[in-house]
Amino acid sequence: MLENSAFAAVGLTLKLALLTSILLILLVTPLAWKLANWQHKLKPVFMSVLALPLVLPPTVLGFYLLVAFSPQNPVGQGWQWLTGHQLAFSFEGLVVGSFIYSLPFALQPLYSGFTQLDKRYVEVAHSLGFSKIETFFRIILPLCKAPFIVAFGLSFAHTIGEFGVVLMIGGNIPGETQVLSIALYEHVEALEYESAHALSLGLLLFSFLLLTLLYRFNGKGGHGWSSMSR
Amino acid sequence: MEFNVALTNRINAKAVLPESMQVIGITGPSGAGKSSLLRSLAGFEPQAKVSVDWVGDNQANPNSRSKAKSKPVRVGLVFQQPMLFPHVDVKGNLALAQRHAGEKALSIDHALAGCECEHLLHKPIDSLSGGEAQRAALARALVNGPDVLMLDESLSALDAALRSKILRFLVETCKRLNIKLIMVSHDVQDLALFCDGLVAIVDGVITAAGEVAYVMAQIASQGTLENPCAILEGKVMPSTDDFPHPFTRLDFSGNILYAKSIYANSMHVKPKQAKSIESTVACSTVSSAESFTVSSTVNKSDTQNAELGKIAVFASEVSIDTNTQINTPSSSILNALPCEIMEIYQPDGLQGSTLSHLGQPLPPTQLQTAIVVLSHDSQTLYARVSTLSIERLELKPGLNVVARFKLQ
Repeated sequence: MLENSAFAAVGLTLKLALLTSILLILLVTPLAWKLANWQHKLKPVFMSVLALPLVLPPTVLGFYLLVAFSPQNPVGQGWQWLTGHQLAFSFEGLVVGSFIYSLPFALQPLYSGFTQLDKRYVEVAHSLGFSKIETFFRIILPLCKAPFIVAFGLSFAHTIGEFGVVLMIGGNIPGETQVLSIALYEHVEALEYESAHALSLGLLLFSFLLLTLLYRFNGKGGHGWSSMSR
Repeated sequence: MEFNVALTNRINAKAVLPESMQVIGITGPSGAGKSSLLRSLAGFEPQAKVSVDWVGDNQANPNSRSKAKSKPVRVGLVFQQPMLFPHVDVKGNLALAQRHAGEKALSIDHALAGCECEHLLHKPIDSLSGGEAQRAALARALVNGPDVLMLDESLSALDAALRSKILRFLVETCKRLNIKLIMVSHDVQDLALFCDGLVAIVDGVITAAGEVAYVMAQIASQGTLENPCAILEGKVMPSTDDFPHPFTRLDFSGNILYAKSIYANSMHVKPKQAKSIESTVACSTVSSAESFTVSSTVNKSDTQNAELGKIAVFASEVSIDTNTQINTPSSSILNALPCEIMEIYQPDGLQGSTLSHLGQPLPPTQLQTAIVVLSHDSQTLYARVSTLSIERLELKPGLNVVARFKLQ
């Protein structure tokens, strides 16, 4: 029923979501920690900039990214100079776009997790002779396990559901930028409803399963991800 | 030790204490800044300006300060909330503390036994009661082995008997391993019994620092402590067959005092080191912008091998009897001690108004009662009596009376 291009789209989508989520966890963790321990009157401005992808229509975000990625723009120019090919309509461009698009979904759980972590645990760890790195891996990471899993799960799921941004900056190149949602759109345009049904149902079930797992985990861990306080 | 801590709008504390003081207590009304002072000393307050010399030797050789300080001083702080890491059990917490164990660290078994929590080893943290968790947190600090151990009301959830047992172990351990112990407690009796030195803090300012009796006398006169606590030290009498009662008797210069339990500090008296320990106590009050120095000399004689015992007596437990015939018992209250009245702190006599020195109105209880300072053979005892009794009995300085208090 599904041809090879569909499997390519599934593989590409999973690869994009996994890579984006890993990058988000790696780069957003220090940012969230800094923000959770930062007091400044400009903090609301900073926080709202980081939350913008939540409320902006994805096409707006995609449009600005497209402009930035163009070879006339310093960003696009710099990328071309570094790698030899352009950033727009490439897989790397999709990763950058997804990173920005899903950033709030990684940032929010981590930020609230870190804010609600009693800082005295960290103080005790320091007084017991732990270095900062050691404190992070032995104390903070295990204590904030739930926010980390939620941040990873949500950014993964959100990246899989991405459509508007990909449409603007990725185009529709099979094996390079044709992710599931785009492939689905194409099937509908070509009136291939059977394939569209298969893809839609697959995405629906997958998203449902992922969310159920996240909720189940939170129920067990005792930390709700919407209200991480106890 | 010597410290100078400034935290904007909250603390401006400066004190010098002799190095011989191994166990130091910090007392003061709630909100005085005790916890902030400890946090600053531990380095947890980034905004605080802190200079601290734990051993207090920089005055002797000021040039050696930077060179001698090559090894950083490890400071352990145990909070009132135990802050045990909840992702591991008690054993896991101790194992984490042991990763960076210092030279003064106790073995896990030793620390658990001393803190009375051997049975908690494999328990998850959320199953512990408040008191159990506090004991485990203390054991964790001892397993880590800091050079300076600070306790911020760390044993507040324990009942008095267990707390006193663990404090005994703690003080002995710290003296044996040369760990400086600094504790904040609301329980003045604990502080008076177990500390070598006291620091009183009011509104972020040190109002008195030095030996326990001296600081207790200062805070009694300042009226910041409603119920001062006196320390009586005497020789422990061996139990004999002609006294079949389950009490310890203290020979207090000829008078016998009875106690349920005493804090024996025989280990303080090193038999071969009979010398006078001279201690200089400097203390400054910022509110009045003046500083004063008090010298006190303690003579510890080694001629008798008798064990010394301490009891702590709260002012509220002492009553005053003008009938000085104590040889014929006429009261159920066991302890009777002939004393001379040294001073009477009337609620409005000393301060000149019904305002305390902080400018706040005194609570009604302080208006109805006065603190009578009693002296027996150079040891001080406080009695909290009503102003009516003072009038009726015509109590005044110089009068010989008998202080009566129930056995401690």
